[in-house]
Amino acid sequence: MSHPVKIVLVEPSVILRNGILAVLHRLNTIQMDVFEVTDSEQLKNSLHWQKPDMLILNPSIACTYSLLQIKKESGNPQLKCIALQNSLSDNSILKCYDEVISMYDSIEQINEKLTKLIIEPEDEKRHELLTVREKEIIVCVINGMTNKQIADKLHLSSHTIISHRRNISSKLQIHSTSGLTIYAIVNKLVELNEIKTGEITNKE
Amino acid sequence: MYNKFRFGKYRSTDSMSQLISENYPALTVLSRFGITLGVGEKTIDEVCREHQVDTDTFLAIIHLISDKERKTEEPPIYLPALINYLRNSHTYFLEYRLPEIRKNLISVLTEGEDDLNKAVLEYFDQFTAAIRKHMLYENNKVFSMATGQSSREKLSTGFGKQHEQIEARLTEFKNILIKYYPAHNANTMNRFLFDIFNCEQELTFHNAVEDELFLPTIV
Repeated sequence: MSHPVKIVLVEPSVILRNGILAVLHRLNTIQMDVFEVTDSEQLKNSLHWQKPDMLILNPSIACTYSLLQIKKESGNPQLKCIALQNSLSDNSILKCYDEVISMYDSIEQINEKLTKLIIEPEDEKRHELLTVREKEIIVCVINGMTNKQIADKLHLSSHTIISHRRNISSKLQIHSTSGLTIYAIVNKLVELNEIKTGEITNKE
Repeated sequence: MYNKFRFGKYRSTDSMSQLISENYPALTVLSRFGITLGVGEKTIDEVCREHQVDTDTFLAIIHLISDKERKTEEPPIYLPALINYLRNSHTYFLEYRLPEIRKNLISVLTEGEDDLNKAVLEYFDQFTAAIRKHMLYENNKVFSMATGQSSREKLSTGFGKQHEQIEARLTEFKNILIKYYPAHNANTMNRFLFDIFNCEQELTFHNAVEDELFLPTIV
């Protein structure tokens, strides 16, 4: 991630808070800015001002209902919430969190848990972009070629073409050929007259 | 579906004007049954009788529109009334709603994007053709089969799936415009999109009447 991860730490106990801070500072693989918050009132303000990427919070501050509320108020659907478990907690409450850090986790475990949450959204973003191969296939599809014809042209198996097409559909959420045509024109993969005359030139 | 406007169900003795003001999507139900406005102080039952509409069927649709689950002990639906409603609903989409949307679509298309506009219109026309095919099939085949005793079983299969596909195509069209169309006039484009959102809801509701009221009645 290019910019540091903004983490808001919500924990009333000063001892625990400083303990967590010390641990976080030792995680030198992750760039982060950490803000401390001691109660739900401060948390509310902090959601507006700091706009955190991640919350590490004591589950007793947020019951299940207000966890949803917190995510809503933050205006950030990607906000990750991590429960800081320092006592026995109801599993159904912990289930609502993206991750749970226990008082007895090792530094490595904590590092792994945080890294997993931070990497995820970047991965998703990359998935939305089409590969060069997928763009080639789109151009073939809107020119009315069958899977078999596309496979022959690109020297791939029909099976591969089918799986590419499935990936295209799920990335773009477009399932029809006429929808793909619109996509291709907007993204300058093809001009309409090329489709008609059957000249396939991929501009990418 | 539409938002919940009221808890509990409407009774035939409730006032029709109150029903409409609490639950404005009911207006579409009225017009599909050929009930005109000017309902005065009359009750739901009085207005329905006046227009020779089966009150129970009318209420069943109203309750579906406002997301109220239908229970088995409710009065049965009068099939000819329901079919009449559905035919009128088809006419509404095919003769009025979709042509109107197409007209508006042309008016919001951005000048100078000829290729793109052609592709967008083609998409819409293919979608319209698919809906038309499906609705005419229902008008010409399904409804007459439903009133006959034989071959009813055949109907239930594949019915709901077609509906999902039609709804999905309109949603896809809307998403394509949102994601890719370079609209220059935000206001007219917004109005158009609101219209599509609305039509999406109307279509979902129409399909729900077929899936949840029509289908259980005939099988």
